[in-house]
Amino acid sequence: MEVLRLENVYKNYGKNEAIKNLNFSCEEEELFVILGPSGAGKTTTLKMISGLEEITKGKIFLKNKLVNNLEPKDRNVSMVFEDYALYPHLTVYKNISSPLEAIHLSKDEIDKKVREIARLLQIEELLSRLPSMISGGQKQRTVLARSLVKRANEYLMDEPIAHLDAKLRYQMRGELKRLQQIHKMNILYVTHDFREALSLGDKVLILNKGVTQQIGTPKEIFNKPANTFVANLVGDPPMNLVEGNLKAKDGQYFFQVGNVFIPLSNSLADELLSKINQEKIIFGIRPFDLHCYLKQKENAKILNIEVYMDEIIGHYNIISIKLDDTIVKIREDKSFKVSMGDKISIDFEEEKLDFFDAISGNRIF
Amino acid sequence: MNRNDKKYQEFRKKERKRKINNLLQNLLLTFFVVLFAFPIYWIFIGAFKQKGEFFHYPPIFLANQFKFDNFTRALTLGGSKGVTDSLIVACIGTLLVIILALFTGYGMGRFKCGGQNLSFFVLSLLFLPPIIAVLPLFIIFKYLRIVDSYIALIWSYFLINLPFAIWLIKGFIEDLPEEIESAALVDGYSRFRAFWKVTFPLIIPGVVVSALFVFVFAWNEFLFALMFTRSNVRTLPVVLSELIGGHGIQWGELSALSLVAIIPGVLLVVFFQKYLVRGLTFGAVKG
Repeated sequence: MEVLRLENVYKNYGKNEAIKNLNFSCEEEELFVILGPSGAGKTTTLKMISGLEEITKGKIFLKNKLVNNLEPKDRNVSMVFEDYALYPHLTVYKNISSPLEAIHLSKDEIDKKVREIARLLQIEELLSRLPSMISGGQKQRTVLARSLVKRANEYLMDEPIAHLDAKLRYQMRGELKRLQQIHKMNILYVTHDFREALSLGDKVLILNKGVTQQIGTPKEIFNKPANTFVANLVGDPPMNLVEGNLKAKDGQYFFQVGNVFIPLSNSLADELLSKINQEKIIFGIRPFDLHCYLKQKENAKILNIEVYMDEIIGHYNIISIKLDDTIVKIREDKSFKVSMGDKISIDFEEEKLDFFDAISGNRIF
Repeated sequence: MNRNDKKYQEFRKKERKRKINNLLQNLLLTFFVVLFAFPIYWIFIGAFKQKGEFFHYPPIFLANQFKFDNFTRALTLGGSKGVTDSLIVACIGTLLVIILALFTGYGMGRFKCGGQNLSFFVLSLLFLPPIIAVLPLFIIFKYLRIVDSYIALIWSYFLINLPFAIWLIKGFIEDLPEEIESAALVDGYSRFRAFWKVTFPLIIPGVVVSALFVFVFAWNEFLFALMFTRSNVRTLPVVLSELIGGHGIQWGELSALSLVAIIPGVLLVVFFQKYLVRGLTFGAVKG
């Protein structure tokens, strides 16, 4: 069942359009992620759904009820704020019990629920402390507890783990997913970290400057980015995007970048030609879909190219080459050893290529 | 150790320098303390002096006996009415100012009500010399037939103090992260309940500081009290001024009543010191 739906939602701050024509819907028990760089309008979206910000145009439905004109308290959503927003003058216990007190539950019931959620999030022993007396990770758990303690239509989470250190973030990410599945919660999660988005999300919406770029499952987002923005946002290192021209020479099609000619099969070139009307295109390929060879490899797509840079990160060796002015990164195993200036050959499978329109940046196929 | 050691000598030199610095500092501090505290001490000692001791030569710096004659006489000479009237005017005035300033300051701080213009207008009122308000207010009060009443004084103090209190409280509201209140709204509280649950407890230091300033202003105010009252209402500063009469100055009573007038201010500061320090440094450290 659909829990949350946004229809043609706009938000203007004065003349500045923060959100343009936003449309999406969240299903029950779904973890829906909004991914975007800072300034994309992610927090604004959450504030509009919670009722903290009014919308300029459009409709927001919660459980099929139009909530445009409802106060936050009447929407029954809960929210985790990016910088915690704990009540500094109240104990952890009182912080967590706040949403229950708001709806006038009995003391016993409140106590039961607070202790239950505190046990689940392992902050039982902190209940009598003030927020200033607990660590960042503990604050995070407290905020989560406050948000999860009441049964909400939708749980809104604004970069809830962005301020934790990497190790804790990784741990909380897993716990959050587990909690969501155990309690069958509907979560709308906002983040700027593509790893979080792809690992947590059942569905991911990518937002840039208030405009929706793509909505899809993590797999779709990763494998079939809708445009160069998405391709660039997702992946570490992100997808290589190289602008070049489609050329034909001696009965063979080539993708020409500067003075490098990369051969393309006729079938692929035909398909491309049927969909574009200019020769300039962008092709994209993930760094791990490219393979390096130290020796001349027969039929390799790119021959004799100089290593521009080489960095070993953990298990990987990230090798950079330069095609015309664009740096292309290749992810190889760390056992693959090269050094700057070495000549290598590069090969890839044609099916792994993505093509984007050079002007609009939209995916061709 | 060799006492002629160069390092040792240097150390001694430094120590001597530090001692001299310390001494100078303390002398300077003592000087200022005496400068500021002596008049208060003089009032204190004066309150216990008998007639004739005021102009005694050499001056009397210590009271011979602690008799409360001056106090009882001062209080019967209008002093007790002065104390009650001052308390009534200052307390009610402060309460009204703070209640209104809380809501106005909240509106202006949180929602930018009235925009830049209103808040600048409020600020500009702070620089208004009170005396220019005396004539129009007097005429208004005369037509309303409330000259020489509590209402007239409370009203005029309210007008003078409100901009200041609004300005202070607005600043405290602005310093409070909006998210904390948003969190309460999402938790299910109405705007009003969220204000009492979260915003108000967090700006209490600011409210206390504002209330203190407003109270002390009303307590000390002389000009309006002199202009707008005759005999029904007589606040302490007016009573005090009347002790300086045509026939001479009643030094003993004046000192005694002055001492009484100092008490509320001192008590308030002592009791609310905790808030005062927090209030004055609010926002300096991110919480």
